[in-house]
Amino acid sequence: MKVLFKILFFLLGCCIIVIMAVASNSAWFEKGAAYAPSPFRYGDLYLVSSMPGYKINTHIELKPPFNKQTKNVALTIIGDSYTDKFDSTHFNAGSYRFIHWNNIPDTVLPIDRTKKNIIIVSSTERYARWRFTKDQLLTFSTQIHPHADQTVVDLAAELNLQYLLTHLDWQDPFKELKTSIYLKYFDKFSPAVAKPDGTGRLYLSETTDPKNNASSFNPVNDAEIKTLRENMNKISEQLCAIGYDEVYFSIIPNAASLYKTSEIPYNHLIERLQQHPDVKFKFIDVYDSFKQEKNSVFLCNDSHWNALGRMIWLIKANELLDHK
Amino acid sequence: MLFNSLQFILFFFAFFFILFSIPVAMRRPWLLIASCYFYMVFKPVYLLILVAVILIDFCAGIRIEKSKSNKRLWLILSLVTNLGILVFYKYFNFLNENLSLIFGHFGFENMIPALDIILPIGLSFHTFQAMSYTIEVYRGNYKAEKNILTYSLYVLYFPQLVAGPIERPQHLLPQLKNPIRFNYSNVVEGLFRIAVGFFKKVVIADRLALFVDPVFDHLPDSSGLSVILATVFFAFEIYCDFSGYTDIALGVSKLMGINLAENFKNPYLAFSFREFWSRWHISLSTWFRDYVYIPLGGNKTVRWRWTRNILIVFLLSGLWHGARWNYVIWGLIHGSLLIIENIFRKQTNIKIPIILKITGVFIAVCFAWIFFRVKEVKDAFIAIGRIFDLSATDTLPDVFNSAEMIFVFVLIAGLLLTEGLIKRSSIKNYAAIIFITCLLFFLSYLFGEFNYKQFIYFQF
Repeated sequence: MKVLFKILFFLLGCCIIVIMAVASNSAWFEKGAAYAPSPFRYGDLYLVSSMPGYKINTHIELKPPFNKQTKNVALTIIGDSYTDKFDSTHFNAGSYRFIHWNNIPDTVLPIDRTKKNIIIVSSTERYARWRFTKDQLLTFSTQIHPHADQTVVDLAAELNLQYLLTHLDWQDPFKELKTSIYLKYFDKFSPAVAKPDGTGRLYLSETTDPKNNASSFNPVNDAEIKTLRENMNKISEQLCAIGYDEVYFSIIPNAASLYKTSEIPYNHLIERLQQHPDVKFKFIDVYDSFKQEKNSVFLCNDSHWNALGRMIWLIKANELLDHK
Repeated sequence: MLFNSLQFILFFFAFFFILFSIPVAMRRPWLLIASCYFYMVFKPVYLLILVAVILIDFCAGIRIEKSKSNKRLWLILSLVTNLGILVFYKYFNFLNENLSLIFGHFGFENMIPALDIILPIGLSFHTFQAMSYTIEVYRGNYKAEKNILTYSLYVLYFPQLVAGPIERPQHLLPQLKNPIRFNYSNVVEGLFRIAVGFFKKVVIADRLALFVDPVFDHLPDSSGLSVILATVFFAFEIYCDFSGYTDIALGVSKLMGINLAENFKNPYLAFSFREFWSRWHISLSTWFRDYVYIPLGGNKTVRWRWTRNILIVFLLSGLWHGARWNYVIWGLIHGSLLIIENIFRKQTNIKIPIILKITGVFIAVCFAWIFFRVKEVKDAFIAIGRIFDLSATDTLPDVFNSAEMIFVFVLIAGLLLTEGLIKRSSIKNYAAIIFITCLLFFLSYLFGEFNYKQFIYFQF
């Protein structure tokens, strides 16, 4: 019996060492993480807040909406976590490439001289003022350099261990208990998430805090709108000069812009940019469609859109490609 | 590797599961391998420095014992090696900066460039521990260790490697020679001590830091009341942070049947400054007492020499904490308080109620903590200035609501009242200890602040 326990202990110790080794090596971690449940399965806002009542699975089955593919269009999307789940089957284009904003400095723009090159520059509303204030796209090049395809997964071992070990279902009741106590007695909540307002929806606090310029309620004056529009024009011109035939912009609204009621009025950033007479490019406008949609287009426990919101955007994007 | 990190928790379980499943003869080598890994997580290449120091001190110890004429030479070699590494990594840039200031004052330029180096973690602790070994062998108080594995463990022993307690060879080395065996009572007591330390760190220290950090980071904008409260909170933050680390270190070590030295004995209940230093960071204060203060003449000398000795010891103690002038001033304040206390005690016969003594010592210690907490000396004077600007309209930063503020005070009161009892109690009802341990871990999770805030003394 004693020997059996020792063998069991030894094997347990070895298993833990394997987990530590996996967490400290990014290549092994990528493989290991496939066996762990996704921390985002109940929404990113639930993940960071553990707010009781919001543990709802957010998995979205996104079916490709088209059968035929327009072979003569090469589509590129610059985007973020809203658009990074799409693949070539979702677009009516001959080829498709996604570039995350974070990777812009290391990325080579894919220009295919045999096709019509279309680029959609998409951004969530909360980052639009920051992204379009800087001339980030001017750092693009068409020259291939050796690190063009490097991976972005380079998490520290501690974060990897968190990913592997701290998002298991049995832990959630404890996390929710802690959240309830902190909220009820200490009036504290996850700093990343706005305190629940009883409307059945969680919001990123940066999108609701009027002092934060990512917020839908942070005032934007006309001079800033002018600067943003001028920068977007510059980006558009730069992309055309690189070789793109058509450039589109798309600003995906914050959930707070659509659903949150606030004492300070919404700054109407998207409409003011889209309706400005001086813009030299086209928009994929989903703000109006989202606003008119009776059903919710955002998940209640996640900062991202739901299947309906995605589909509306996808249909709008494909409408552009259908006419090519 | 932080004790409050997932990495340490996994390391801890992997280490102990394997330790108690392998043959007894393999356990000490396994402990050494684990200790090396623990140190290498910070910066692997720095292990080479430690290995070099271990080899030099190990050989020096043997040579000191064997040699009759060159004893002193071998001791000097050991001390120069240890102090040389300490000075190079910790004080070189500080000395160089001050040299530049002096040169600049006379219109010269200091041509020596600043070094871009990272301080090896726990350097001050393991250097002092290594020096105590060769000094004790030199004094004939301890026989030189002949087994390199045992001596390596003495320096590299992971539970106390990065923040003490600074052990003496007489206390630790004999325990490291013993075979490591599983003992149920050691495991229960060790886990209990770990739970206490973990609770002090994540529930009390890291919660208090939420209030202390913004106040000290924005001193000119803080009210007098905020600075006073932040100073008092910092006194308990640093105590819970450091003693929490020590509790975890003692607990982890206890699991292997190795008893490390106690480092704290309710220091904020001290009723004199002398007593405070016999209760706070005991392993460091006794180190300075035995290797600096007494060799300088201690108190068996005329008053001015004694005064000089005290000031030297506390100046070095301040410098030991860091190469910054605010630590030097912190040390000198404590030295001055001891001197004033001694003069006062000898020249007056006034009986002061003990509660007033405890309060007086606590206030003075808090005042000194201001110099310890700030980044630059001028910030300490800003903090003191804010305290003197105290007014009835002062407000507090919006960090704690009233319920959390009450919670914080209950935690502090509970700490002062129960800690002494916990250490003195001899509960042998293991079921009760296991229950309290589980409860403490659960409460640590429920009320803990898990922001991976580093232990304050790791930087030393």
